[in-house]
Amino acid sequence: MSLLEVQNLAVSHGEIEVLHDLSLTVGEGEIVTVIGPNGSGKTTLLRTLAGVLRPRRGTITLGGRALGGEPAWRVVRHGIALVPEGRRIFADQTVRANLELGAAAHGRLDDLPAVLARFPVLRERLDHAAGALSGGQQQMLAIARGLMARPRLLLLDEPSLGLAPRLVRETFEAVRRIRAEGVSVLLVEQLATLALEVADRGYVLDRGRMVAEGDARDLASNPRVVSAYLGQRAAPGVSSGPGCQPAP
Amino acid sequence: MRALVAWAAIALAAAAVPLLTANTYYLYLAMTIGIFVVVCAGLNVLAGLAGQISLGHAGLYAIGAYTAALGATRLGLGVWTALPLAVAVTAAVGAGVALAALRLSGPYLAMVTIAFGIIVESGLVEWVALTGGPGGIFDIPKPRLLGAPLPLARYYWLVAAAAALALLLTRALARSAWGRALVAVKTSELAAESLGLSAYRVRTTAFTLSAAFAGAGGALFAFLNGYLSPDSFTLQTSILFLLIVLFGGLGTIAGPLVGATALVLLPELIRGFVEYRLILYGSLLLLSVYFLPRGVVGAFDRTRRHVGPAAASGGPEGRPGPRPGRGAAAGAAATEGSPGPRPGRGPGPPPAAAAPAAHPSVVLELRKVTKSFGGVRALDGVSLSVRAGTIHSLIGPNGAGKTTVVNLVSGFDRADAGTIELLGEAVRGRSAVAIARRGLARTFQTPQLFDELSVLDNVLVGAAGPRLGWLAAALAGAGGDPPAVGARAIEALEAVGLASFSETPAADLPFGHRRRLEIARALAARARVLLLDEPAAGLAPAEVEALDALLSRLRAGGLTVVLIEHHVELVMAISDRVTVLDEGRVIADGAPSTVQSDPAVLAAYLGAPA
Amino acid sequence: MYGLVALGYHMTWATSRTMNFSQGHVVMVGAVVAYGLHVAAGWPLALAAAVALAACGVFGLLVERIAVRPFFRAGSPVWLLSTIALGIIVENAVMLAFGKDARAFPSSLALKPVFVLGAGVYPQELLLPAVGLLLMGGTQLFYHRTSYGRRLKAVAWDSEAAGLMGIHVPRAVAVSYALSSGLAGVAGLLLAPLLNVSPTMGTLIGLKAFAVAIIGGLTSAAGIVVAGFLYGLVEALVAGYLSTGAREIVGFAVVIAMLVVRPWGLGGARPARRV
Repeated sequence: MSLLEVQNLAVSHGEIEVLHDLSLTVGEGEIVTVIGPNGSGKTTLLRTLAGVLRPRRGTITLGGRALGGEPAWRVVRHGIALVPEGRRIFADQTVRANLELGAAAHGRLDDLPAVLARFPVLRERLDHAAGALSGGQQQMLAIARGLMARPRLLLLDEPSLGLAPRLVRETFEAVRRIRAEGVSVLLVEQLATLALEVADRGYVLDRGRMVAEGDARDLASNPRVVSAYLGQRAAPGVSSGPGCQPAP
Repeated sequence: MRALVAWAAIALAAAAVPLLTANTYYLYLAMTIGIFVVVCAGLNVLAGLAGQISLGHAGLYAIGAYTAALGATRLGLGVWTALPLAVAVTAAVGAGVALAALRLSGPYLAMVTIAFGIIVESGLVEWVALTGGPGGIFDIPKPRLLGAPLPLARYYWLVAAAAALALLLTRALARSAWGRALVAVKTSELAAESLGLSAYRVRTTAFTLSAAFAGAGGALFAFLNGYLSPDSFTLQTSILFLLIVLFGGLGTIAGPLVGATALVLLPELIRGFVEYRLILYGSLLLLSVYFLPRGVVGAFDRTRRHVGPAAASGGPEGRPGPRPGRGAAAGAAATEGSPGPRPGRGPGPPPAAAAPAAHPSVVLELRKVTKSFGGVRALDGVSLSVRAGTIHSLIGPNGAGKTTVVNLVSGFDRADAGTIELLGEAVRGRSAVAIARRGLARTFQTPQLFDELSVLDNVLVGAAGPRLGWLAAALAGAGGDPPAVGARAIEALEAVGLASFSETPAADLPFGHRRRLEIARALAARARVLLLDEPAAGLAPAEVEALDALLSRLRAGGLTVVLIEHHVELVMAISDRVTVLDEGRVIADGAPSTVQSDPAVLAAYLGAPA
Repeated sequence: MYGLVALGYHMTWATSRTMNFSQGHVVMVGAVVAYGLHVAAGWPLALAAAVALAACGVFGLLVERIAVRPFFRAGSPVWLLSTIALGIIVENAVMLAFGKDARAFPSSLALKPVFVLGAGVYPQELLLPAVGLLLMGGTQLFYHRTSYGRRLKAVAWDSEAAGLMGIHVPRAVAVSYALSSGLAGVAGLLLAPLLNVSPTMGTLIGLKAFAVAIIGGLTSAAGIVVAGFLYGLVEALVAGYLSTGAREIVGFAVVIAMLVVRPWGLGGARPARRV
């Protein structure tokens, strides 16, 4: 029984249907990644799961409880927290205030020490203005803020955006530690190779449809992934290894 | 036809009023309605067509009234000279306010008009020497005609004629190229500017025109009343004017008439409850805003409310109708979505691009362009060149800076450093309107269509661009487009296969067609370089194929196309050259096959392998 | 004093990019209710004041619910018209209930003038800037120090992100309206003894406070405070040297100039155009 079950999800942006008939699952204590080129609908997927957008069709179930269509502030209470694309921290308030706001759904701040222990770089800057932090630090803050909501499932939207490669690795290290604490993670990334390194399983999204799924290791050598990004002819002659999925 | 009969009946009824009653009070009421119609017809042009709310029209009304009154009492002018004088002075003031304030939009403009109204109101009280202060101006001589004073009944006909004229003028304006331009700017300022239409110029003209109408109304009022005092020109008066327009029907021709009649007669009907008048007004305002967004007239008139020459039945002379032969073929082809070969002529050639590019000159060049937002470097020394008659694509991962390039090139944003040359001319820092006039047309990530206009009108906005003709001609009913403009619009529609939809309101088009309409509109603008921002996004595979074919045809016709796209297959199939951006820098530039197998590109998209 | 009411404009603008154009009428409501309860019905001042403030808060909530929320997404400034409309209705309703005349609101602080720097000033008049400053400081503290205030700030900064935190965004907007009306109500209470209570006292105050809000910058509380003082000062000077009517003209001319030159006010920041 998976923690998160999404079935036949369809989401539209005005008249354009952006996600078609999407299904995926995330189990307890798993890191699942959704990769795909720009415009494939990854961010739309996360925003729908978080309650910012409403699906046209399909179901979203968290721990057995149906969630489709609820507004964001209620979805948080059910246990899904989104760390949005571009971080979107409250730059005019302090680091501490941002973290406290993260707990706004339930109002309890007991987690603060534990979260700070996980992100020591924030502990040193508790009373700094959030806007003064560097990009990498802001990303840490955004993730920590998401954790303050005590989610069962943490959604991460392109955490690598705008970060230097070294910082990206650090971020992904943090993601691993989160999984170790029992929080499941759904990671949306454009940088497929890096995401597949840290994830357990993956899905490949192309223009609103799932075109491949499977074990992260196997996906990494699947030519379908490359072709989704750069077109058919670009997929170099990668050998069809044992774990490859046949092209759907 | 029905409308014509209805109007004739109204006109007759209006003309008959003084014959039916000699009661001066009723005549006074009727004339008040007429005067309000004049003022509100002008406000309707501003608020309904151009979409700008003004809460200061009482100030303009006051200027007209006082000018006429002063002209009559101090200079001995008769109504026939005082009226035009009032119109001229008020229009001048209106132009001044507009020039200063119309760079703003939305709530800010409304705020300026409120402030303006209050200043005028206070000025009337303060400037005693000119305006007589709180006591106002009295003893305004009765209007005279040919030496003899005009009896009230005759003055009524003057007012009625003025009201009728006001309505006729606005009707003519709504159906002209000017009217179309106003609606375009109201619906999407971005799109209008990308077609070379200056929103500022268009709105300023609308404001000045509405000021002229208000001035006329004010002058008529001065002669009707015989005296003026500042109490008639308060913020409440401005609100009343706006209420008339809203209640009657924003943007409709009959709206001001219906609104004025209702709001002048209503207090009379509730004579016993005159204290409740303001509550009534306030409630009506709220109700209009809630339930009658199109006003009373709009609620009755469910049929499409079109603006522009296409709306006039049969169209004004000079606009070519769709030619039967080609039209039929275009219609047949359009329904499938992919135009096949047509009998006789090939598929509609794109409207005359400049002389076919025989020599591969560079039409667009960027050299070391840099742009930062806050502390973030969006573009860092980007250089690329686009050759004439080619399709050049710009691709790159999320956040690479592609949209920034589009905005900088099209003038919607300004580069910090570097050179941008369009057709040999440096354009960094020029406005979007100027760049559009120079020969660049663009589309937007989300199609910015003029939803209230028909498909043909949308394209006509592109075809006409800034060339709208004389305003006076538009008011007189001769505001149609020159034949060449109309022909170019039709050609553009045929080129994209939408000619059979020309009368459809743009809002009713299915999504795939909306993209095509945007492209047609950009084509009609006689651009030499077309900048397309993600045209394939959201299209079904068959539509993408049609887009592919369309782009090839455009290239064959000599057009240069710059394509921003994520749809990799389309890009690789159709481009002559591909530039790849990553984090604000160019990381690859060349033929599609080269770029596709470039390891740096792969790494940028997927992330460096461990 | 204008600053106080203008802060109300700032509050709602910051949270939802809308303004309550009947803010002036809220001031009036505060004064009128207090009058009705204290002077006419003899309730003790403190109680009357509390109820008056509550009434203002409720009015604010009503405005938000009826006139603003339905048009939140509309894009066009329709809320401008609907808030104005509500204001007109309220003004007229009060006029019917209360009568048109101005009534005096007696207060011990407005009886005998005190001499400060050579000018005669009623203690009540001194109370105004004092309370005003206190409240402005209080609101700043509220926003910065209390957790609920920080939530409202978050909604103002990025309402979508705030929603992701579990903050109930529509409720936050409603609260900001109620609070801003509360501020206006306080202004009404303080002004009542000075200006004489009448149904029409609100319109002009609302408009001038609006002028102050624009000049100071709708997004900047500090700017508004400064602008409030400057405006009051200039008003007094102009009234003294030119004439009382001229001060309206000067004041609103400055508004126009500000809007043309620097629409985001003294303390605000230039918004970027998104394409």
